[in-house]
Amino acid sequence: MYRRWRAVKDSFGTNEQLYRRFRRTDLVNGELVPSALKFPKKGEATGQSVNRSAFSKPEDALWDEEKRYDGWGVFQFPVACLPSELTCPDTGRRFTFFPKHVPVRKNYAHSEIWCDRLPRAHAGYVVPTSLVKLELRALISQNIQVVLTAQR
Amino acid sequence: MIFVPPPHPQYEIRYRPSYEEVANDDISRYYRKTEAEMIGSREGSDYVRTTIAQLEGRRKLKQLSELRANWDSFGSEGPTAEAIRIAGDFINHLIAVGLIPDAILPSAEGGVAVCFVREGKNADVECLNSGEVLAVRYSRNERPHAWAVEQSPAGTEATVQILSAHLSR
Repeated sequence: MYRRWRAVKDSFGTNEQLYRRFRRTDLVNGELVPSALKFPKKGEATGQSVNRSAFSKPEDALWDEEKRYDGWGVFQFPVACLPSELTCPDTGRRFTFFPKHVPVRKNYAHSEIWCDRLPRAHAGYVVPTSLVKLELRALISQNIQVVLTAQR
Repeated sequence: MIFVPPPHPQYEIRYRPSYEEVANDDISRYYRKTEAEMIGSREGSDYVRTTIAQLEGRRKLKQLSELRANWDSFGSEGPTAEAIRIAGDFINHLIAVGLIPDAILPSAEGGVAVCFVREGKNADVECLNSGEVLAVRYSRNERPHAWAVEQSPAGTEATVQILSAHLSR
């Protein structure tokens, strides 16, 4: 889990999975609904936190010194499901989504789902429109597999 | 004068035997049949089903109104009173046309989510704290399609029609 001396590895494997924790109440008829997935707000300049499977196990997504997440579940979704292009049905603005390895001191696997506009600006995290956010959340929901069942 | 309330009864009914334990086989059979008819009648009654859904919806919204910030550990806000009011109106409209939500949940984006998950067909309506109302529909083999719900009787009706067609296809 600890980063120690390890460097950032920006390339993600095509079969790589991303892990995130959830609560039992996020499931409806056994499926995780889009409303359970939070996007960063404007000005936060960070993507949605996930752990990458190349450097962690599902249960690592629940690791916390105070054990606050004991009993939560973990789901995974493939990196490949992140869309390289999503167009806002309202404004016509185009966005791209990609994973970014952002290790932190106590979690080397920590990564984020980043967004940029198209054509690429490479100028930090771009907050997509509300409709694009919702479509992405639904896309992720479609590809989710629960790997650790939530007890609470 | 000091009023002293009467003492609580010293006994408590902790156990109520079921009819199976106190009635003979014939009476038990008759009770079982009546019970099954009552359950069938309740399930089959649009009025009762609708009323139960409305009560459940109100109970759930009240629960959501008490949520604190960071309820999901990812820093999400609890739904505002306005988001709850808009969601309540929308839910009543859905129930009135027989579309009973599978879940009413807090949205991690801040607001209330009304969710449908039915045999591979999904739809969500999110009444956000920002005042926006957004909807999305998708199925196992269909890419999600999202749209903004215009906040007017015609806008609500149009979304209800889309959801109804999608979920019953």
